[in-house]
Amino acid sequence: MPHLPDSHHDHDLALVAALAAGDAQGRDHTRATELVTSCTECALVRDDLVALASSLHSLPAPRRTRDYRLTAEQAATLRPTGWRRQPLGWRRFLGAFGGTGFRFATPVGTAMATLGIAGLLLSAVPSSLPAGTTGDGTNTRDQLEVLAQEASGAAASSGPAAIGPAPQGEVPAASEAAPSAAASASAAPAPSASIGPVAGRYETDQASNPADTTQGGAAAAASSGPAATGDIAGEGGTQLAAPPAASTAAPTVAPTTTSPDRTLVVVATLLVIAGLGLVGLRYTARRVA
Amino acid sequence: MLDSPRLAIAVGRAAQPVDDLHSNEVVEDPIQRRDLILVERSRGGDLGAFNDLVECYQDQLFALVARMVPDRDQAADAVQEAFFSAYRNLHGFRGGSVRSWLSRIAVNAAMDTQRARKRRPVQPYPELEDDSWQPPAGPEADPERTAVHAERTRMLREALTTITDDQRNAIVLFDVEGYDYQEIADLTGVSLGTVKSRIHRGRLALRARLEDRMELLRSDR
Repeated sequence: MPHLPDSHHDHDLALVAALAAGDAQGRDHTRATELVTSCTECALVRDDLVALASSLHSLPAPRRTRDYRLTAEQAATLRPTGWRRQPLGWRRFLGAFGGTGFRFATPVGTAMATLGIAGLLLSAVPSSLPAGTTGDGTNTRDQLEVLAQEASGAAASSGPAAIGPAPQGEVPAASEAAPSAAASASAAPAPSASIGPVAGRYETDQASNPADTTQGGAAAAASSGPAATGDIAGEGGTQLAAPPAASTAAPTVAPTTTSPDRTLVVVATLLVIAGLGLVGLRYTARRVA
Repeated sequence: MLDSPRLAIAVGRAAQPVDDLHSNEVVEDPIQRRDLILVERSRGGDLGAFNDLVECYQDQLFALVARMVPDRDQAADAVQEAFFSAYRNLHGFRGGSVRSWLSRIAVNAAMDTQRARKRRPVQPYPELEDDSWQPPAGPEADPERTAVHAERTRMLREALTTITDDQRNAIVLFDVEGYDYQEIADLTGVSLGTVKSRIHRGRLALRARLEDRMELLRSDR
């Protein structure tokens, strides 16, 4: 038998009330019975509650003070008009959404619309961020590294073309210079037309000496892109299509930042529409029902 | 009311079995059969049939609402609104007990009134009207017993106004009106456990308010 608190004030009167109403079951019933048998005050509470219920049952009915029959005028104003006269099936369909089973619609709809609005706001934020940050969370330095890699990739691909007769084994030398090519982006649009032949010659020299290329830095390697292209063009070669390094890097970064934003906008808009639709449906159904 | 000529005609017409509006069961209960006929005729635009329905249930609904909303004027307004709502939504009646349907509308109207009062609290519930008046008693009536009964009624009604609306609604529907737990849960839109809890706590709260006068209730047993 579980220990009961000594003081009546510590006894659980809700159990006693459940026992008085005949609702106590199982362990609660056992505990409540123990309370009533071992504590005279709990027993008194039980008796009082039973007496209360009995007295409430015999409470006389309040007297009506009005006659609630409708007059013809009242009936005319209350008679369904307009959209309330729609077919019964349509109203019944709406009525299903107005019942207690669809009570969740308003809070769920509100939450969805709120999330949608938050998403729309979030998708609008990147355009107003400081210059050091981009929409996808990467900073300028990260982007510069991406640009540098793009530029070095372009340089590597254009290098051998510029060199023309250079052996295949020398290509890795140019690509090795890429990691240190922080300034490659700015170096890329160099006035290649004017210095092209010179750079091309320099590049030829560098290509013939791979050890020097690794120390020479990426500026020379990157600038060799357009310069070499000019050189080749001057020779009527077929490498005209090779673009400058910076110009190839720029368009490849842009789509990766806008694509997630567009998805976010679409999803957020759908959430707002669905949420408002739910709330509106519930409201209309309750009006009709 | 029940002997009104219109009602007699309505019930008289029901010699053939009347189907529940949305079920295939034949309604045997004459009261329900009468109610269904009146509803059907009201739907057809017969205002007299609807007023017969009002006559049948207005006392009962007023008693229910007046216990839930102790302010008599507000209770009367709530009952009026309930009948207006019933008339507007006659086409929404889906069969079953007309009494339950009307009670549900009345309980909703009473709860709306309670909520409106919470939003605009102007004053506590006024002193209840003295309903202790009883018809003149016969010579066999015991004056002391009558006085005790009147006093008990008064103090119970006062105590009912001091507990929370939710507890009062549950106690009125269960202890006074005699609805069962499930019906109350359906009427008030809460779970069965919540209904029981409100009744238990409400009774305890009533006892706490009446602790020094409980002798009056105990003597009734």
